[in-house]
Amino acid sequence: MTDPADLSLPEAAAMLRSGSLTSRELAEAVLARIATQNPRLHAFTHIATDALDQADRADALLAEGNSGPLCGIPIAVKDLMDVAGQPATSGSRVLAGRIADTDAPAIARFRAQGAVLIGKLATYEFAMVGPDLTLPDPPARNPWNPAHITGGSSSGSAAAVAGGLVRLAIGTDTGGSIRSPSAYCGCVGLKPTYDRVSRSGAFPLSPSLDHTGPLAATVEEAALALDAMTEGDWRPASARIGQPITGLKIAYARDWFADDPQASPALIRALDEAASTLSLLGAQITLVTLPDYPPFEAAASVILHAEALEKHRSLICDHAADYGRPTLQCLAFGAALDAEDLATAREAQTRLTADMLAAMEGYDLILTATTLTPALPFSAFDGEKAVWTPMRTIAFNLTGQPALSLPAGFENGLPLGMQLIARPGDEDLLCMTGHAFERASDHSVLRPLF
Amino acid sequence: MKAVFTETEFRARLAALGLSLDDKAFAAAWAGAQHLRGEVAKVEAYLKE
Repeated sequence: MTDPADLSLPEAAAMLRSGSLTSRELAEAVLARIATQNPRLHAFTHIATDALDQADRADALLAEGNSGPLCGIPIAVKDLMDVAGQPATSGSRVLAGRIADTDAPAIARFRAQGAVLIGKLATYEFAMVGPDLTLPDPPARNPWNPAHITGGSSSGSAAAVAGGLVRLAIGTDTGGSIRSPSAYCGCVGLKPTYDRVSRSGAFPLSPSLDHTGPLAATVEEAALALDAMTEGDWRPASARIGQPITGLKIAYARDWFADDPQASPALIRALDEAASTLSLLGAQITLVTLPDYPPFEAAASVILHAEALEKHRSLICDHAADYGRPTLQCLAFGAALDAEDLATAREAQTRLTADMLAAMEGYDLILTATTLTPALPFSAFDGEKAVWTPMRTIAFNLTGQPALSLPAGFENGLPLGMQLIARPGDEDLLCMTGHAFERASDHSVLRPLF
Repeated sequence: MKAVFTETEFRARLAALGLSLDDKAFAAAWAGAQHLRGEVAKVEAYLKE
């Protein structure tokens, strides 16, 4: 029999509804997996002491026959977001000892649907920069090679999913913090359209760019999770899962990464193969030249650093000594900016968003890279200053478009990721295409050996 | 056109924040600050296109 911890979300949900598995049994299997693997991966920073009580309550809901697809399913949450009764430190000594009083609204939706909030996951400090080996929680490690980073800032979320500790984790993404760790660790990361999911109850990094979304073992699971988190009248992300992608028009933004000398040759090959696979599935792939990437990155960097410093201004006054050095230095960058710089960057944001949507005219989706290399080794980080890894993610925090990262290959045993981007609200197209690609390739079913 | 952003001005702004960095941390922060000024210049150039 399959270990319940390895059941996909739809498989587990079906067994829970049929009565062939209880939520308590599922939670016990997941807790056993965490106990075995977490000492190596450092993905979890806290295990919910009431996990089995939550599971029993889910079993009661299931027995009443009044439950949705996430009832009884264990979900783990990045420690940037509040889960009532659990620690909420944003991975920092600054907030050491803080326990959340209430659930973040997105988390409350999971709880109301009977999900089991099984614990908190490692994050780069305040979602800013990492890994930092000097912080109280050790940094999460890449399940494919623990000598390598996970990427961040949703570092524990990616390690937990890719390492098979949970099928579903929640993260946040301000410049790529869901998508880049997903790419580095070989799982699926879905950054939704701006404002689709509530950002409340998560420590803000840059409110204009912050997004909340799922990391999952498969696209279908990510889509189901997003639907559970979504507020308001949006087309469900899971609505078109399993439909054919024949005739879909995909703009392949190859020069955005292949012309960059930092891009690994294996990544370029993997993306070209992904484009071929999507073509064989019936999509029309066209090489396009998108607007230049550097202005997107520049405008987003200015907004991010200006807003981050503003959010931390009072904490810095009182707790500067409690910050990790790389985080404090990154926050200090923002002192180089003033209100006029922020206004200029916001003006550029409006124009760049219009430019990007104009470039998508005639296309349904964009295909490009998530990160330009596999995950770096820990030895590349000295713990003193920030090291930036090349990626193509922050442009879509600036434009607010939904973006999906999914596994596309390997280099030296480490995962590589591809990124699909849609128009705002088109998560259904994104997930339909990602799911079709996943089914046509074996990248997502491969798991690290322990 | 803004005046060139100087190290002295950066130090003054950090002091106003109540932020005191040792030499090594300041060097890293100043490098990042100069990079950000470069990003502002890129944004301004884009808007002039």
